[in-house]
Amino acid sequence: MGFRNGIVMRNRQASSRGHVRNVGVNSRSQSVVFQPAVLSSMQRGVAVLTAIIKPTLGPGMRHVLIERPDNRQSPEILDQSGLIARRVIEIQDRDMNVGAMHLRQVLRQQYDEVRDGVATTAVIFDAVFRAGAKEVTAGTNPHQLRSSVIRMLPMIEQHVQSLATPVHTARQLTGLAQSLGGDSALSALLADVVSTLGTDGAIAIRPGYRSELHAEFIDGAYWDEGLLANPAGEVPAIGSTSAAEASVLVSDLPLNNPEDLIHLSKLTNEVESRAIVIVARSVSDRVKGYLTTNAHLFGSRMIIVRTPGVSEPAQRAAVQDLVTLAGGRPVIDAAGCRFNGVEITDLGHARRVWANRSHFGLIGGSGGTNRLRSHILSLRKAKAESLDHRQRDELQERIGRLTGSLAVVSISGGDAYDAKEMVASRVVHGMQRALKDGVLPGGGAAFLSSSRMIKRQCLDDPVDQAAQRTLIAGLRAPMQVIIENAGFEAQPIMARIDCDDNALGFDVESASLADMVRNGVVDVRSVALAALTRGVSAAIHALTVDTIVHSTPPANGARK
Amino acid sequence: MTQSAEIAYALAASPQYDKDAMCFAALSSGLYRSNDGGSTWQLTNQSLAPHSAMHSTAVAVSPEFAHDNLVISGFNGGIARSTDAGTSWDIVSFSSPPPLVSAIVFSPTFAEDNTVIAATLDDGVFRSNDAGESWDPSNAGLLDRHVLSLAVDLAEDAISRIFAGTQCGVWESTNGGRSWRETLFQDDCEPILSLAAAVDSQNRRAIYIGTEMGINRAILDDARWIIVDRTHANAPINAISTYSDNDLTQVIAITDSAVWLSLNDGQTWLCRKAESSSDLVLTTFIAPLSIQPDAPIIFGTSSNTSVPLITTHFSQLREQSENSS
Repeated sequence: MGFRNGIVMRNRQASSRGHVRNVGVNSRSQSVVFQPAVLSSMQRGVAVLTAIIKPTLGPGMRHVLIERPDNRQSPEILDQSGLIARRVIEIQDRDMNVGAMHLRQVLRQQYDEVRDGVATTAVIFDAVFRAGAKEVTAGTNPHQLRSSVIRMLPMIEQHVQSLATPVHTARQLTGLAQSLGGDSALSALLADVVSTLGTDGAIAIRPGYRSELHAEFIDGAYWDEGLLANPAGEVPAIGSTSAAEASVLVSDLPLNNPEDLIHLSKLTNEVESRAIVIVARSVSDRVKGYLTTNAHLFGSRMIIVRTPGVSEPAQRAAVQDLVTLAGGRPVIDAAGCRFNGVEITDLGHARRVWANRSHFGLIGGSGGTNRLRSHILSLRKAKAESLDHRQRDELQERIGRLTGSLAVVSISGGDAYDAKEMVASRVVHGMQRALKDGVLPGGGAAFLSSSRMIKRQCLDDPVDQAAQRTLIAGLRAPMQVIIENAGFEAQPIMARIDCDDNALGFDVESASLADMVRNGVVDVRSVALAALTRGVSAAIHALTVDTIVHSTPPANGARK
Repeated sequence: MTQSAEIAYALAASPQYDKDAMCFAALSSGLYRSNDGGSTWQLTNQSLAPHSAMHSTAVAVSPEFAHDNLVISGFNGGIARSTDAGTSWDIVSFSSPPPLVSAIVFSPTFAEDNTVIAATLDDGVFRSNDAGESWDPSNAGLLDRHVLSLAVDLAEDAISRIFAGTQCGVWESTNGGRSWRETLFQDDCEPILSLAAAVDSQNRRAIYIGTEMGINRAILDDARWIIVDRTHANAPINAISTYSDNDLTQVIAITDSAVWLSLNDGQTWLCRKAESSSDLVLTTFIAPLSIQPDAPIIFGTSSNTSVPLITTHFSQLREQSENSS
């Protein structure tokens, strides 16, 4: 068992026999592997990891079963290449493992930055590496090959870009959702939600208590924090409280003194509000007790909710968003603010507020449209510049909240909920990217069209010709794998497509040659381009690896 | 008709006006119906508020009126709906605090989607997808909830558009009012008092935007709206409407005291000013038979007179406009 995570693989041949030297460096034994063993071992390692991932490519995708590390839980059944690439899959043969781990790192980058296109990246990487290795073995200098490929890559990217079309109709979105997620009912629902909310939408996927799928559009903005105290002091176990024409005080301070309540109540009365929502980090028992016994003395209702966000930056962001929506000024600890120093100008206003144990929301804040516009613009800019998908998700959620583009999709699924939730998230992200960036003919058709374009180039230089062959191999691979995954023989079908120059593809659902865009078989432009660029660049770069140095772990206790 | 001073907020006519001569007027004293093309008016919604006037602030007639007799009217806090041409009414109340309904439009594809949109001054847009029986807020993307005006683009196209003019810009929906996208006045933040959409003589999508100071014309160029000219009326544009005559778009706009008329896509304008002695303030208008020489135009006013509605003819208006242009 050579795998930490339980995939059983047999090492078919001893690697790099005759090309390994054991050397001693800094009291650690290291083995060094030289060419030609490096290339062949890495190629086999890449092929193994690609073989694990490529069944998930295309609508005829299959599943991959991965044992868990402790062997006590049932194995994971995965159909998402992004998730497979995140699992630790280690190959016993260490030379092969270097190739597999290099590919895995590339795939993780693709997943972290784009959240999709991982299987396509793997297939392109594998094909380019394989074809490139053949050229290098035949005598082409890998560095020259790399330069030539990198020179031709922009031409291919430009050709792929030229095939892009914008997404206009709900039918196109539904087709895209189905090609991304498979499940037709879920895909149709998500397509409807995404087409409604557009690229600004923040769509939460939640476990549903009903058997059917359900989507709810939220008016206004809400946060995942709830009541600390309601007008009567204690928080009821169920139900919610609401108020109209309420003042809003946004803070990250703990509310510990009943005197602060009295001060805030006076201010609320001065502005003739019927209620005040106090956003605070916490509420002391003294304040709750005071509220319970003296609520009737206040001229306005007091609704106290927790400042959203677990971490300090998240709290700061939530405070900023709340003040932008509701108006007023933030009363924050870092600025030395205290509740007893709050003035009328610190109060914001909302047309309606509501809160329950776990959430609170504002509808119709008085923060001002221009202020809101510029805040949303700054968040959009930050999102566009961010390479971290978690940060992008957080920014997307904030943008959705500020633009009032929120929906909750409830999915029932029992034990399979986690898998469904991941599929739904992938579909939502894919569709939002498609709305923003447009789509390409799917099923590998855009890449195949690019392979024909590059094939037509007349090149004299032998290195350029090698690069041309390498790129053609990489560009043809995605369609070949998709067709084979659906149970068809790829070569005759692709030969027929090659005869036609109209960017046709093979629709595996209808088992026919088709205009892929018209049939709704599409790929998201930015995802496909990222997979292409990353797959080709990383593979061609890997071809220049000349030596592998393995570090042998020291004996127990030897490491200092 | 009531004898006290009042305001006409909106007018709407039956699509079969040439046959049934039916039109409706939303006035501060209630919703009125005329069965004779605007010559006489009867209060229709008295049953809803028998002891006091029910302020009616918006009205729209179904494009399928010949089949469904549907009329939808707005008031402070909700919607009144009639399916018998205004004889009886049902009320749908919006949640408290009550928002004032400022405009109502039927979806360009109402026959297929049963969608009606109501704008409010306080709570953004409400949308009904069952011909006005039930309503839900529909404000995704609408950053400004103070909606003053609505317009629909009736051009036959794959994408039908609805526009909302707010206190701070113009917003566009291409999915039947389910979500909104900011299109114009992002920086200027001008109140958009009135809106009308059309396809101009060069087959471009155009919107005519009435602001506090004049009329702006915007065209759709490569999926972006661009303002191509501004006509300074030096007064708020209370209402604006477009009519198609062969290829040219004809546009009528009104300020408190003047009627502006363009016969060439809004490129040049004629203006007819009211007599200075008149205490009439023009608030709204309708041309039920589009713009033809003998076609009537009904103006709604805010005045101390007992009749806040005036009917004239297009030829008369045009002649007077040319004389005073």
